[in-house]
Amino acid sequence: MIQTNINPVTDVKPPFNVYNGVVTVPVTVRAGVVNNASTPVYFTGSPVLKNRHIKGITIQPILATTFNLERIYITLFNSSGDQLITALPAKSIQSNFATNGSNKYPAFNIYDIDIINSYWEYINNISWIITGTLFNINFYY
Amino acid sequence: MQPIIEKSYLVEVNLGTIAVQKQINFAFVPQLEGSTIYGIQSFSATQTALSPNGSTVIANAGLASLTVTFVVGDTQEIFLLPVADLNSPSIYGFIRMFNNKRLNLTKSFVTIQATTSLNNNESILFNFIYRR
Repeated sequence: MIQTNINPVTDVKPPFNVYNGVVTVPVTVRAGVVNNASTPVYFTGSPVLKNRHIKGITIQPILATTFNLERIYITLFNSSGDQLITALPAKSIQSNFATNGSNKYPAFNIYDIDIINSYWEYINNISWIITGTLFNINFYY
Repeated sequence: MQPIIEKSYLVEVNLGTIAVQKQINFAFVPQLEGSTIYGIQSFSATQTALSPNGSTVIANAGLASLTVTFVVGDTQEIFLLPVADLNSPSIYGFIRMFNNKRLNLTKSFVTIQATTSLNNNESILFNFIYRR
């Protein structure tokens, strides 16, 4: 058999650079809430994500600084309870992750994200207090 | 052409006490056992200051001090690959693609080629993009 460079995962699927829409899930912390270090924080729900075919995920810092994003990891589950994405570094889906301004976003092929059972973690050795919208996480479908 | 992520799993390798030519094997990861891996990334402190376990991640300059060897079955199919080559910001934002490998992760290992820009007990992070 001749070995080729064809990757069956990517070469037989339609291009994923055209999106039908985007769902933005804000991550907001209320005033006075103290979060313990490295505690998973669950996302709020968005019914639009149910049964959706998600092709792209990006993170948009609002109050979060570079310092914060370097310590944030995202874990996503689907409605069947499968752990699809485990501890994805937030910076890997930030718009300026790539150098040279190439702005390459990773493409995704995941279905039916169960957002209220998915979570993010802020890894630090002390508790932290941040009030307001920390970041938005955008799901492209 | 870039891999389309279906599942991903972040794995941490802690270097322990650093020494030249020290090899640190990957730990067993149940979710990756028998999985088909088609993309691998590495991360430095520039992207991930602390690992999910709270360890300090190696400095970006430390990537140049490490290589990684990935084993399929008993064959070292990816041999002494510079870890910097898996770091997306270092390669114009690309994710390195692999041809659907079922890795023997516990036989795979990171090798410290130099101690430059590395400190004891720092970790290097790898993100495996896979399908079941």
